[in-house]
Amino acid sequence: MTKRAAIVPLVCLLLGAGPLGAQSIFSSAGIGLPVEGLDGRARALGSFGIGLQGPMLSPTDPAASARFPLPSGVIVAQPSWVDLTEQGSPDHRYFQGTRFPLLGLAYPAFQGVVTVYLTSVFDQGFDGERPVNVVLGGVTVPATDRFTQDGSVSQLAVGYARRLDARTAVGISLARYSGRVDRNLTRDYGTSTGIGRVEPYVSAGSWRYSGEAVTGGVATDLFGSVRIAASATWSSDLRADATSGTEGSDRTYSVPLQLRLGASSVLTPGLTVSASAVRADWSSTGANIGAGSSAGTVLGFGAGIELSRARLLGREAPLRFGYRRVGLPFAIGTEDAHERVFAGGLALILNQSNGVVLATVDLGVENGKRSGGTFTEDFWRGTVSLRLAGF
Amino acid sequence: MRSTRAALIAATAITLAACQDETPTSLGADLLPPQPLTIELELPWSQFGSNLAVFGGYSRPSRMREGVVAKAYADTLNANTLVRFASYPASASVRDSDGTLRTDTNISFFGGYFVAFFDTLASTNTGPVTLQFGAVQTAWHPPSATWTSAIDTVGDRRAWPEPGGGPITPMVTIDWNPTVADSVQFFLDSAQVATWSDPTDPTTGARLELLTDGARLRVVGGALRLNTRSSINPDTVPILTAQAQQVTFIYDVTAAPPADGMRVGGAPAWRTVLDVAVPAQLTGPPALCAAVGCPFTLQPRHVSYAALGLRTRQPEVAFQPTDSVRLDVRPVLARSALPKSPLGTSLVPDPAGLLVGPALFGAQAGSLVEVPITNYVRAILSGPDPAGRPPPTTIAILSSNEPSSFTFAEFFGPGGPNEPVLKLVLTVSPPMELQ
Repeated sequence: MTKRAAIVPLVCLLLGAGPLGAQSIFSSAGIGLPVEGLDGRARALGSFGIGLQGPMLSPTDPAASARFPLPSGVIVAQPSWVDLTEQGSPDHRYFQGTRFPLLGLAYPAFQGVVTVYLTSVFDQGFDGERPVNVVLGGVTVPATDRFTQDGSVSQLAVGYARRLDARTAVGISLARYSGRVDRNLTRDYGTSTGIGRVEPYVSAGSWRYSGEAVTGGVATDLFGSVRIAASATWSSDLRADATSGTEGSDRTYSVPLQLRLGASSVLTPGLTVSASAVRADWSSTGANIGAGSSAGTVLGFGAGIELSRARLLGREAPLRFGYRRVGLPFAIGTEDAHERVFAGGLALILNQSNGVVLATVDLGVENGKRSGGTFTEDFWRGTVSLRLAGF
Repeated sequence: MRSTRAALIAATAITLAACQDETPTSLGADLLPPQPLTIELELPWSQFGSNLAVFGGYSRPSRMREGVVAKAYADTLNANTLVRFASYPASASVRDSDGTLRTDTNISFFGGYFVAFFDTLASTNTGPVTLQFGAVQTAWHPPSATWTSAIDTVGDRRAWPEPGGGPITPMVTIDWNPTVADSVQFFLDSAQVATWSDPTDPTTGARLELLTDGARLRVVGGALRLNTRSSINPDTVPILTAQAQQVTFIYDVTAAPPADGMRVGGAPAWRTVLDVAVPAQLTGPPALCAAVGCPFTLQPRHVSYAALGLRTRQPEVAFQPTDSVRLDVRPVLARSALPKSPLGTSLVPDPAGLLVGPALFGAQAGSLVEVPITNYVRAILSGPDPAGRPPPTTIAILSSNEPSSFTFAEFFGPGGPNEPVLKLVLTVSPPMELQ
């Protein structure tokens, strides 16, 4: 097998899936819902993708890739199922979607490891309806405003990581923001106008995103079993340029410095604990976003344990459990929004040689709740990542 | 290996399970952009219309394949219907003495009857009227025949000896009561039936006329039923049919073009032509200016509905519709070629045309009729097409089938309280902005 057998279904998944599927109503707030480029292992551990044991392709921990002995790649798919409710309303809205938040490659070169990442940054898709009454021919008739926003911000990053010594590694990546958002408002007059067919009205606009970011990080091993890592991301302003034909104006959003800290420790052979935290103050972005949203400081914390000697179906299958809570940078209304999840998952090692894992599938399953203002989302989120090495 | 494969299949299944993306739908309206404004405008003729003209003479009555008979209707109108029958059948299917169905080519005709069908709703009489059926004696040409001319073709113009298709050989006179039946039968003897046995004879034809004053009848069909004698089974009398191959009607009133109005329909048909201009910028009303600022540049997408608002008026009583009128609007593709300009495709959404009831041209004259031309107005605002051709700014209002009725519709023209208007429903909003 097994690499080819593993690649085929994942490629099929990519080809068969549509564009990024929106996964939260909080995509409508500010410049969207943050999407983290994390693999199934980090998700299962409640981690922010920093400070975990072993080599890792994580955009938030650029130094971790320095430990890859072989060319490696990771691809991540993330389905989710969401139940949305609003305070004071008995209605439930269910929706689902799949996105591919991370595609990463690492290649040993120049006495270090060169990395390339394609990651999702913000998800912005949502739609809504608003019943209205209009007067046609002197008679008040019902109409419907339908709004659709479809888009996302993504990042293409190129990085380099290098071990300074046996315990410490550093990494840096340069990223460019890209992406597009389409906003479309349609007033549909329906068929009961009293004056015959009334054409729907469409107001639309499209914007392309651009900007730059730099992420630097360091990771070191202490006492032989403890790993500590830290990283910081500086971004230029995120620019949204109106496409030709769009009447709306260009926008600029300031993106704050994002700080991350993570650590993990092998307590006993087969048992590892990990924890990580993030901080970013998005308050300054609040001046750039619409009146219906607010921005605040993001603080997040996550922790998890990994039972690395667990077996499943006769194969090594590390089990993971985690919890994390993180604030969302943008909220609907003025109240802060946050997300908390309980996570679990396992790894299926498909191929390894001389102790080096050549192919593995990491599964993470999260059950969580996002809430902010009057909105609450209960969701299940799966993360499936395939990591290959030595190709 | 098997477990690996199973694991991959499971992972694939998990991901595929949510591959059918469903976008999150907001429960509230607060997350949506501001509401667009829907506003109605009514532009007077001076702001959108010009160069109104009425043209007549399109098509000919014979194309309707139906007839009209009238006698001093509205003290003015006389009309007769002329029919030329198809060849008589050359054979009949008859059962012989054994009961076998056979084709008999040796048949003869010994009488029959002409049956005429009427549209009782479109006919003006409520009581019995007297009709006469007779044979035409003069050579005539169905497509070109008029009240005075039997033939009116290039190089051959011949008048009837008597206006109205005469003289004729009278055959049958009978009363018809619309409350009893919607058809009437004129029984004929063998000699009379033999009159029309040769359709190639230019004199062959029958005339149906009304003898009762003050009525106008719409004849929607007619056929000659032939009593047939069979050589195979003389006891059987099949009734065969000679269809009306050509039908037309002739009348003695010529409607003059309206000096101050619009006319649509009739046979031959009338069309009304006008130039349309749509203002590219609006400076009101205040609600519009408050929402999007003024002057406001009107774009095609802002026009949700556009319609010509026409006020009906009563035409001459002789031509007043007694049945619904179907209106059509088409762009005039070459205004300089009028009245023979080609027309574009219909602008009216309903392929059958816009249905207007007859009462609006009688007791309810003055009613507003809206003829939707939304896409046309949008096209004007769009400007030249990708090939650089400007949109036609002249439209013709006509009946959806020409000719569709002897009667015609009339509307008030410019220059009065009932002049045409352009009704617009606009939907506007500030430019879509990113949050």
